Amino acid sequence: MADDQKQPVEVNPEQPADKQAAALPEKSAVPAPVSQGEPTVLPAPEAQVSPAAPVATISSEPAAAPAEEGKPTEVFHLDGAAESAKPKRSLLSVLLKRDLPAALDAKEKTAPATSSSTLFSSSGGEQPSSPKKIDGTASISQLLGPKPLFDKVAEETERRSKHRHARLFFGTSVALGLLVYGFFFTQLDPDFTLLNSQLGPNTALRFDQTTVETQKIQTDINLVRYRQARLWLDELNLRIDPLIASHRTTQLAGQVESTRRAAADELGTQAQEVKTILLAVQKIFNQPLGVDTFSLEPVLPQDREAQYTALALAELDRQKSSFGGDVKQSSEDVRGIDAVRSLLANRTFRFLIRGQDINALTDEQLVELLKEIRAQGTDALSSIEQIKKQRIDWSSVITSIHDVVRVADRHYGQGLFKTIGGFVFSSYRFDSKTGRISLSGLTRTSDSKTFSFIATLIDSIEKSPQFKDIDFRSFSKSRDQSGDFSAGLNLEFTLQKEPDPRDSLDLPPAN
Amino acid sequence: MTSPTLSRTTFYYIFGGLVLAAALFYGVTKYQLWNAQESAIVESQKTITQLRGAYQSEKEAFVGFAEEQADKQLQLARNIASILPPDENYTDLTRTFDDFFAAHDSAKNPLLQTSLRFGKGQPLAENPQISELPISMNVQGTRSNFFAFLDFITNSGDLNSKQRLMAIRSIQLNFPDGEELIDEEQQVINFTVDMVSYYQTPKVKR
Repeated sequence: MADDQKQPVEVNPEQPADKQAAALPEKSAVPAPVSQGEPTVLPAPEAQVSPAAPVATISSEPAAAPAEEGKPTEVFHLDGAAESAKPKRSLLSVLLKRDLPAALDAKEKTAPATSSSTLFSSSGGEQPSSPKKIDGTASISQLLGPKPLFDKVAEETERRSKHRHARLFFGTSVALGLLVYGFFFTQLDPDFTLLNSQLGPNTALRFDQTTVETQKIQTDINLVRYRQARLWLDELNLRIDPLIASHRTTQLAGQVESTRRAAADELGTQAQEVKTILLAVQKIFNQPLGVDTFSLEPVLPQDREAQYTALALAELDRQKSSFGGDVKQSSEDVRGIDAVRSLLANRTFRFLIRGQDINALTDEQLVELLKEIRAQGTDALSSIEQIKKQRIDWSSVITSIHDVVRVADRHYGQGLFKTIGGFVFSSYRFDSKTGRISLSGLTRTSDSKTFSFIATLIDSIEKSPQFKDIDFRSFSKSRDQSGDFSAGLNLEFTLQKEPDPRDSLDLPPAN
Repeated sequence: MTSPTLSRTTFYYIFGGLVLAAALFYGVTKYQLWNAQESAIVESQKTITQLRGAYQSEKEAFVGFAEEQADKQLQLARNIASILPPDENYTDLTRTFDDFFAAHDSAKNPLLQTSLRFGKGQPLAENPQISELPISMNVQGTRSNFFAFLDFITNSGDLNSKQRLMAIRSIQLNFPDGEELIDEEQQVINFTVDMVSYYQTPKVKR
């Protein structure tokens, strides 16, 4: 649109003025008052104007001030009447047909507006600064001023100027973008070390370094704590067996009261010392392994614990490998490292101690906890405890066998077999691995119900909470010279460790 | 009707604006990250200072505690070595058995170990750090001594007793009198015992 307004209009001097006026663009027919600074396009009024045109009085007062945009511009007044609808065309009509001097005067009033143009030259023309009375002798060139010349150089200069501004803007933007990218790339990429020698480590590298340093110090603290916990647990191990022995003494049936009381007092003291140790160990285990460092990704507490456990284990491995071939040093130190390592790796053990209300434990609960600690541990004493737990107390087993046989034969083991009969066993065989027990012997009854007698023994064994899976399905007997009935026995059954539906409800469950 | 120069001008303005907007977005995003990292570095330095202080104090406490526990550690190590020796050490075990049987053998309450055989030791399948040494023996003794022997095995492996850890695999009892007499402490029993004794698997194979 602006370009259109600036298009120069060629005027043919041979054409009648009416036609030329009609051919002119409406806006360019008469130079309209314009805002300051806007170029004004003027036509080339070369046409002849009739001198006989009536004289018109033109007042340029309204045109002296720049008109507001969008409002009809009062250019001049003919006979005191304001021409506001189409002032430019009216002015040209006046010029061409009626009163050229009046038009000239009006032109002179509006001419200063063209002086601000940058695209058209107005040099050579006089620019009257005050309104004149038209005398009717002015030519059209005087009226309209010199023909405006289209200045390509000025336009090109302006376009180049805009282009330069655009390029400058673009270049500045790109430079700014590169600067921003470059700054943050050099600061946030930990692998960018090109400027480290001049500017020191960048932000990302310093961030990583502080994180690593934090983790390392925390790992060192963890190792110190767990070494201390290991020492506490060794101290605890020294006290577990005496405490359990004291507890056993207090529980033994038939124990002398004074001995039981002394054992109870000893147990109380031992329990307090053991609880103190357990509290110290619990305090260590309750402390978090990891420290809350800043990280780009969120870390869950359990992940952090696993991460710091791995760091501590790696550090222990490094220390272990640093001993190299020094066997003398490794024999003692490696054992210590292995002990701490197994403690760190054993989460179950840590949670076992963590979850205890130690001060509230009774003596029985404390003994059970200590046995569990021994069983869950991973040191030599824990291995020993596991083996001890698997051992069978054969004295108790033999006593239990006596009890179940006495259910069927209440005189068993009293040396009355030869006189009143009953059961006699000449050999016992126990197998710890399978838990199988074999009894070989004889039975003798005065009546013929020998098989029922044996069946009673079988039931007694099966219903016992200590034994199960007895299998005796082949019965045979013979009558001897005295009239008694005898039968050989070869019983096999298994030690029972879990409750069995065949157990008698009348009997107490197995321990 | 736009001239090439004008197109380029527009291009410069549009793409310049885009580059500026992208740079602004990138810059704001990265600035937040950069600023967060810088703040984190400052905070981490404070944490490191605190941790260093904690490490020093805890290390000093540990060193003092370790010195206090050194004797107990030594005692514990000896006790463990006595109940779980670092080798199969069957000669010591032989002496241990002799000591026990000699201590319990008397004219009224006899106990006689008639044979003793050691097998080849091997690591446990479930815990290779520990090995077991098979032992077989024939014993003749009174009922009371038989139960004393069972208690001796049951109490082995206790830090109190400092007795080497053992376990019975199988027992076979025979009553020369032909009948078991439960209440007769002096009844003679012949028993054959298959058992194992444990030791720490040596680091170096024989």
